[in-house]
Amino acid sequence: MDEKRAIQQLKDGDIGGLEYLVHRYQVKAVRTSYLITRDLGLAEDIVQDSFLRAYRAIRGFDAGRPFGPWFLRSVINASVKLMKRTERQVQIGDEADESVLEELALRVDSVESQVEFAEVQGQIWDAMQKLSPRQRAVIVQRYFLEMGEAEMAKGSGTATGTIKWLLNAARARLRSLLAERSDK
Amino acid sequence: MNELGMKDALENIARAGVPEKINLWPEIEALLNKRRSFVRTLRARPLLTILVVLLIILLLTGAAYAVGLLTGYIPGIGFVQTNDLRVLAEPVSQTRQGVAVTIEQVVVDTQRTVLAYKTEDLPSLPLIQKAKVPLLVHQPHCDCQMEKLCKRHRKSVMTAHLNR
Repeated sequence: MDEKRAIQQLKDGDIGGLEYLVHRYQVKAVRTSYLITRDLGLAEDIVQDSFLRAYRAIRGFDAGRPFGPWFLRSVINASVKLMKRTERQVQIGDEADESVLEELALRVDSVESQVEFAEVQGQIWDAMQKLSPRQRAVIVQRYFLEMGEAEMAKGSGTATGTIKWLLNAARARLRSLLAERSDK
Repeated sequence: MNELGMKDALENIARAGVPEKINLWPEIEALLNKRRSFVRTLRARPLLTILVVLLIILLLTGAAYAVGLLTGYIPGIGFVQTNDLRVLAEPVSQTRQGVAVTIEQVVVDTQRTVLAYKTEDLPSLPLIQKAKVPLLVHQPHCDCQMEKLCKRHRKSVMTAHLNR
């Protein structure tokens, strides 16, 4: 079975089509959500809900378009929405810890050994959590999903300029956080 | 920022946090089947569907009846208890800008509203000023809201506004 056939099956009410799509996209989708939420259980719940939403919305989906980007955008939007809601309650006042993030961006360019890479990787992971959910999402879309700015803008319903600005702000913040940490 | 390095770092982080062998399908399938079986049951058994609809209507009307029983009034319908008289528990009085208004008695049933009130020190309204003895106002019941002045209730409504 290929993706187009699976989507057509699903449009015809056969959930076998959804099974194919779940098996094809679940790992990528959960990893994408995990990078934003940092919680595997939460990421699985978000992806599960997103598949159920896709099932309900599939009649309106243009079968000529690829399913993956459309679906992953919905996962990202759901993850950001949830994180905005929870982080508003949890992370107010965390600004003082932002300095932890500033060292990462520069070091990732210059690592030479696996050990050093693993160390920087951990720092990137920590630094990512200091970004806002929206900034985290643009970093994940740009670097993990390798989406273009136009595609990101289309998915989030915002202007390309806004995405560029968000991406630059996130990059700059990450870079400065990493740089600061490497100086210590 | 080195894009390749960043991509690899995020890829490694994601791999470490989310195993390759996750399987969301059984749970998604169970949820879908649960929903589909309910819809299918309704489609396959029209009699059951009708019964469910009737049950819902009964529950809704039952709830409305309970509200009516408790309050004697159903919004949008009006008074539903014909036996009960509603009376003011005790006289209430309020003075504003030197004018005192006292509601001495209110009796309400499904047919009429009877309101007894008196005003004091109302110099700018000579007609009312004359009525220093308690006034008894008989008004046939109508569905007007207190905020919307209806001609028949204007007098009693005016009094009620002064009392707020």
